[in-house]
Parts: sequence; C-alpha cells; structure tokens
Amino acid sequence: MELNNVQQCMVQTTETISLYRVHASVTEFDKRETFLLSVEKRKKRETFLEENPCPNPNPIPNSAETATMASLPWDIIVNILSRLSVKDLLRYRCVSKPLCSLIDGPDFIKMHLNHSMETNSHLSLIRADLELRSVDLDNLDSAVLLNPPVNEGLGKDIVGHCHGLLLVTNRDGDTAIWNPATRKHRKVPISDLKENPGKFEIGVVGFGYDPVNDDYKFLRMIHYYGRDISSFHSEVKVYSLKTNTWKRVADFPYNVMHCANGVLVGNSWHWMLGIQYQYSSAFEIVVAFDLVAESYRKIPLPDKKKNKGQSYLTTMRELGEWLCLVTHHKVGEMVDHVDIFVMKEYGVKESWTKLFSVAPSDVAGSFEFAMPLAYLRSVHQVLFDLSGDKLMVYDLKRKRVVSVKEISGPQCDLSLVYVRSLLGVGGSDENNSEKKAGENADKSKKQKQQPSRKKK
Amino acid sequence: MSSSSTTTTTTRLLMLKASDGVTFEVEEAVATKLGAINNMVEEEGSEDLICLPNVNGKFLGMVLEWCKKHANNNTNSDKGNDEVNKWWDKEFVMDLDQNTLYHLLMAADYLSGTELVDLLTEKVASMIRGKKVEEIRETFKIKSDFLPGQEEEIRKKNSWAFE
Repeated sequence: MELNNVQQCMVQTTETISLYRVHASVTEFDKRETFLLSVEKRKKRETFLEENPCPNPNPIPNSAETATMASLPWDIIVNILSRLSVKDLLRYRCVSKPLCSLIDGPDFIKMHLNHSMETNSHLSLIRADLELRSVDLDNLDSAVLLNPPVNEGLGKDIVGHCHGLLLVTNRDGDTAIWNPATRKHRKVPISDLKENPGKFEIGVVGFGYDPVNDDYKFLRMIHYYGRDISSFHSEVKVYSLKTNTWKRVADFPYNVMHCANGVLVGNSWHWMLGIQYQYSSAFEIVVAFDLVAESYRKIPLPDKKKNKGQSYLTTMRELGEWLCLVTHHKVGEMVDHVDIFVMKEYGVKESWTKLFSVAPSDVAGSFEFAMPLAYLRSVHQVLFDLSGDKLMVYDLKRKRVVSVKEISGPQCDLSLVYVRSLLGVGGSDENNSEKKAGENADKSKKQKQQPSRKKK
Repeated sequence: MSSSSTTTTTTRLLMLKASDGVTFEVEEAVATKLGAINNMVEEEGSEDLICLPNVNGKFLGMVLEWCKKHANNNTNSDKGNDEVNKWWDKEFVMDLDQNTLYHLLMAADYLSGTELVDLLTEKVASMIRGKKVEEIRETFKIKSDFLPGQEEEIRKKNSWAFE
C-alpha cells in the first residue's frame, strides 16, 4: 500500500474517514454504518484530527491485500505511539515533520501521560543521597545519575512532583521546575517575598497542578513571629509556570510552629503543621491549599488510638489519589507494625479508613521504616520504600507482602515514584540539563562519602 | 465457516454478516463486547442481522473468538479470572503474523472493540520500542521531509536519546 501521503498529512476528519469507508464498501453499505463511530471514538479522533483535512484518507485495506504497519489509520498509529517511552519518542521526533509535531503537540503529550498513569507504566523511582538517581521500576538495577538544574548550594530538596515535573530547590532559594525524563527545566524567578532578617522564619512550600487553568503552580510562604508568641505574620505567593510570574494570595491563616512534609492530593497541596493554639504547645493539623481556588482549608484527621507500650510516628503521604497517613508503631527501637490509613472521601473525617498494616515478617524481614511510594491500580499493589534500600511490593487483593527487592545504589533518605512524561516546562529559557553530563560522570566517581540518612 | 454458539432460550442471537458474505451467529452478550455492535442493539427495534461491510469474515471470526472468550470469562467472577484472561490474550497475540495483526487491529478499531484494540496496539508498540529512526521510517514507510540540516538540529536538541 502506498500510503506515504497519510503520514505527511497528520489529520483526517471523522467525516472523511467514514465517507471513505462508505465508498470502499458501496455494495453492502448499511445505514447503521454511521453508528460505527461511537461518540467516544468521534471525540478521540476529533481531538487529534481537527486541523487540516487530509486529502487522501487512509483506506481500510482490502483483506486480500497485505497490511503493513503503514496501512494503519493515523489514530491507531497515534495510539501505538502513546505507549512508547519518552526516550523513544524524543528520538522518533526525527522521523518526519508530522511525527515531530504530533509528539510535541499538547494533546499527544496529555494522551501519553494519561496512558502512563492509567496503566502505571513509565514509572521511575527517584532516590536522593548526596546525588539524585533515577531507577526504572521495571529494572531496579538501572540507576542513572541525574543532573538537577539547581546548584549544590547547601543541599537540594524535591518539594513535590506532578505529572512528571519535579520542583527542586536548594537552601539558597535557587528553584527550578524540572522534567528529568526530557531533561528540560525552567528556573523559577526569585520571588519578591520580603525577608525579615532577625526574625525566626518558617519557609513553607508546595507544588501542583491547576486543571482549570491548565497550569502548574509553586507556592512559597514566609512566616515569622512578632514580639508576642501569639502574633505572627505570613505572606504567601504563588508562581505560575504558564505566565512565569508570581502573585500574592491570601495570607496563611494559622500560626505555624513547625511544618512537616507536604503532599499533593488532587488539586490541593497539604501540609501537616504544628500550630500555636491558645498558648499551649504545638497542635497538629493538616491544612490544604487549593491550587485552583487559591484558598486554604483545614482537613480533619482521624482520632488517634494509642497502643500500650508503643510509640508512634505519623507521616502524611499521597496514595492512589487519597490523602494517606502512615503510622509507624514502635516498641523500643523496633518497628512493631505500620498502619496505612486513607481518607476515602476527601475532607470527610468519617471516611478515614485503615487500608492495611504491614509488620516485619519472613518475607519483609525486619525494617527501620516502610513508606508507601505508589499505588499501582492496574495490579492492585502498593510499592514501599523499605528502610531506604529495598522496594517492597504489597498485594492489596491477597493482603500480604509479595516481594522485597534490593535497589542498587546507596541507602537513601528520599524516594519517590514519578511518571516519566513529555510535559514541557515552557518558555525560551527551557534548558537541556544534559550539558554537564561529563562533569556529572566525574562527580559520581569522586563521590565516596557516606550517604546521609534521615530518620523517618 | 459460520460458527454458532450453544444457546439458551432466553439469549438473543445476532447474525453478523462480513464483507465476503460469511455470517456468524453469536450471542448478544458476546457481540456487545464490541462498542459498535452494542450501540446498534441498544437501538429500539434493532434487527438481528447486522452487516459489517468493512470486515472480512476471517478477521471478524477472530475478533468474535476474542469476544467470546472474554464474555465467558467475565461471567464467572473468579479471582484468578484476570490472570486467565491475560494468559489467554498473550497466547492470542503471540503467533499472529504481521499481516493478520494489522488487519485484526483495523477490524477491532472499526468495531470499537476497545479492549481488543488495546491488546493489539500494545503488541504493535512492543515491536517498535527502542528502534532507530531509520527503522521507524522503514516500518511506517515514511520519507523524511526535513530540509537539509533540520533533522540534525532536532537530533542535537536531545542527543542523549540517540545514545
């Protein structure tokens, strides 16, 4: 089949497809033919095929003809491509102009991302000690040294991640939005939040997606106390990746004493905070910042149940799009068990449900900590960072640990699972952080220091 | 090569007529695994004979074989069912020659058999992973339409992806 023209013309309208099919089958055309393109399929096609109509639509080859990959309709080819890795796709941009514009197009990028998220494919583990490493979840020996776009400073931090974009910052305030899969990044301009020297400050940050404005936002708050412990001042600014600007939003409504890790769930960033409460010591609450409405909300926590003789430590995570509380119960220094609670109905206290518990066992061994990393919906499994050097797989259907595997590389103080996507970071200052590859390789050789370890 | 299924008195039977005149008698529950057929039978007063002028009997037969397997497996809600289906799907696509694979994929797409399209596109995707640019051009019969120097420019932008 001579179908080069189809490749040159990326787009076909639904009409041309169905019309052609009618012509191709004049003899037995049935009026029900028109129903063959369901509403859903029409939508799908229209998304990709709405621009220039194709003069030579791809005909369904007669069954007597030999079909090749080139015989496939464009939308099937798009479907096939959406299953490939970011690296393959970046390479296949060179095949032809239509393929290049397809792969660069926002619709394809979203389709690729959605497919990856639905099927839990193209997932990588990011591990941090003094360096950042990316490990392909399908191959735990595949650790690759990453080259984050912020300078060493006094240490780097991944604030959060969303759709394959990571927000990285160092202690000097150098901040960038970074896609490690495409190796592109964008520096976030320094905000004009007024520092107040001499006052005790708490820097609170957050990062996530605003689906209404199709924008990625980074939030930064400066919070400091007045002379009286109960008086405080906060100033909050939000950076928009789309506009590359900062704007001030409502001040933070609580007097923050300390702030633990934050997590993104849905369109809101969540902090577990210790707040000043009627002159008493810190009182723990969870506060959410809605990235769409740009407003705050207090999230109810489940009632605490204490077990005799045990101490516990609760950490907040995101798991399967639920807000999740991970509680490590310890007897002495030893982990007795870890409870995983999720808030099944967002914002509803009564919906906090214990999903399961993990305890040291023959399969899991004994461990320092077990932190859930990701919920793989398609296989009903939860992945755990086990003591910073192993990956544990918990099967939700069988309700047990099914495997524990060593991850190559040193023990790490931070692990997260992110999806490798094609998402761009916009702007002309989009840089290729691969420039320093040589330097990076050098660094990895030199680095023989003991990895730092954070207590969980 | 018409196939008929064992039926109970309550099961509606549909006649599917392929482009080459071959007719298949299938249970409604099997045929409605295909979105297109499902849309048609949901229509009030729909007939039991459905003509599918763009699908050859050979491939329609294969599509229906897949539907039958999946319709049967879905009725008993065993835990291991997912695995049975996955195993069966793997066998189903394993030995397909390329010509059959593409024809089958187009038939499944035409009939809106979403799950089958998924299975077959995944199979095709597995065949084009990790290839060189030239190999993709060859596979899809695409000629480069870049101006001299343009391709080099694009390569440079992500040179690491070519390593």
